[in-house]
Amino acid sequence: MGAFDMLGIAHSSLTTHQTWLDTLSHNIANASTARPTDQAAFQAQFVMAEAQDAGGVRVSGLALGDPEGRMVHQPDHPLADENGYVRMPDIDMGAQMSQLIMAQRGFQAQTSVIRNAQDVYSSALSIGRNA
Amino acid sequence: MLVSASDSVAAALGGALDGLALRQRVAADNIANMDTPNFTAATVDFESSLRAALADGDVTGAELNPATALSAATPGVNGNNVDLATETMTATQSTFQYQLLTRAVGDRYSLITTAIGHM
Repeated sequence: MGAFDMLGIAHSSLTTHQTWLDTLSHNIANASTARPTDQAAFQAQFVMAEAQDAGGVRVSGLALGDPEGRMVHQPDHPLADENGYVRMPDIDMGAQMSQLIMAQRGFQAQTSVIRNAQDVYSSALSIGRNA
Repeated sequence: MLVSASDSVAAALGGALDGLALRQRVAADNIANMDTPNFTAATVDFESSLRAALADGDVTGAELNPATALSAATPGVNGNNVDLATETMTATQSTFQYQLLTRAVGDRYSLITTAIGHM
């Protein structure tokens, strides 16, 4: 057990939640990205997290959404095929937005851990100071 | 052991500080994994072994082992059973306990300083 473990653990979770937030921004930003029908649709990214044995959490990988996407009839779209279709990403905006809140709250929870760690460690460092 | 003095009070204080430090670390780990699927929260009990050691009158022995157990709380839909409210309360409470103990340890050193007459 290291001397300042709590800070490292909180940091690992901050990083993981930051990755989650970045990924959600990326997905939401591309929610309307159209592709020609002969290409794969924009694939939403999903962060996979796992607990570390030594404490903390890490991103274990990124899963990708469905490359099929949704076929949308937009004949006036410059990328539309001869039948008037473009391929739009199949992103569930409700799920993305609720995950955005979860990731934000998770990130904020780590800051309270860091404050706790500061209190505890400065308390430990003050042992014997006024003896 | 944090406090090198060999008397049982210092040993008990040191044991409690070690136990609280572990509890803080485990709470930090639980909060870090509050969104990790299939994560099971852990809890720390150091009071039982400390109380038993104090009852035996031998606190300096090696039996002061804080026990880490997995939480039996019901997991949510993603298999995670971390309760943020519980963990935050645990972290806050043990922070205050830790500060109280460091104060007690400091006061013991103050006694020694007084006894040797402020060299």
